[in-house]
Amino acid sequence: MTQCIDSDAAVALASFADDPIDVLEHVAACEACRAHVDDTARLRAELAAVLPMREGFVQAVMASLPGTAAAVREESVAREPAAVAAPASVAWTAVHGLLGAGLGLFVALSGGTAAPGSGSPLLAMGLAAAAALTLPRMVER
Amino acid sequence: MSEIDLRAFHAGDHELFERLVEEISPRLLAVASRYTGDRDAMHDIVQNVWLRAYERRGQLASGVSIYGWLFSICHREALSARRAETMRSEVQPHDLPAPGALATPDDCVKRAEIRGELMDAVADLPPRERDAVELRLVQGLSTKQAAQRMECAEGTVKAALHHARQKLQPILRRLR
Repeated sequence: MTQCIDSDAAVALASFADDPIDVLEHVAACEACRAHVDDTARLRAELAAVLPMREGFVQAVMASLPGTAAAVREESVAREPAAVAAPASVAWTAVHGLLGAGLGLFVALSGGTAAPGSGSPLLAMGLAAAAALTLPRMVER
Repeated sequence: MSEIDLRAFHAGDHELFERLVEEISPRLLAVASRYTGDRDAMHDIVQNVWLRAYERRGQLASGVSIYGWLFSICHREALSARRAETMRSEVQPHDLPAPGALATPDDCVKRAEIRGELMDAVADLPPRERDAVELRLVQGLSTKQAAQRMECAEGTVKAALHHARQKLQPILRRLR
């Protein structure tokens, strides 16, 4: 025994036996009871152990929970790149439209006779370029 | 730890969660430290525990100790983190023996392993036994108070504690 028991322990001891001193003497003499107390104290020490949290940990946890102001902010920041990309996609659609119109005009001006492989490399190149630009967009959709 | 307002918990009351995070995290960190020696990893595990707890908050039933419930989540999170991480090679300060005791580094590592086994065994206890251990031994409630909290008879608490101790005894003896 390294120190005297505190008043809480004394009250607890007194509350569970008619003669706590007898109980203490029994525990001191009984190997099974001492082992029981020892196991219980060891288990308590293991399970009640604590480690200090690092600074700002509680705030970090709370910010990561869905629905908190911080989490909502983070989610909207994550969505921002998509919003920024929207005007670019409008521009791409316009470019595709212009290319398509240009190609249509080209075919019309050539009299509709210049099929690919029939001697108009310019038309073949135009068709290939239009396909290369348009197909990825169609696949995306 | 005081009894929590289950309705507020189920509703995801952020004030309640903040109080619980502040109150229980130091104990969860100690549990996580039985599985990893890396301090950042321990914090990551505990942060994930809170995230899972928030997502599954509706599953915490009446009469179940919140710590026991969180302990199970922490155990699972720590096991998955351990799978992804090389086991610690350094001995942590809390693994060191009491001053004056003779222990080699091997002894310290062995004790750390036994402590990990003890945590595994506690996690494997049926919820009722784990709650009895938590409420009686760790929180220091009387049998009557524990029975009220667990919504069962006092005899059930006593029996649960007895069975839990019997299961954990072989590991506890190796820690002596």
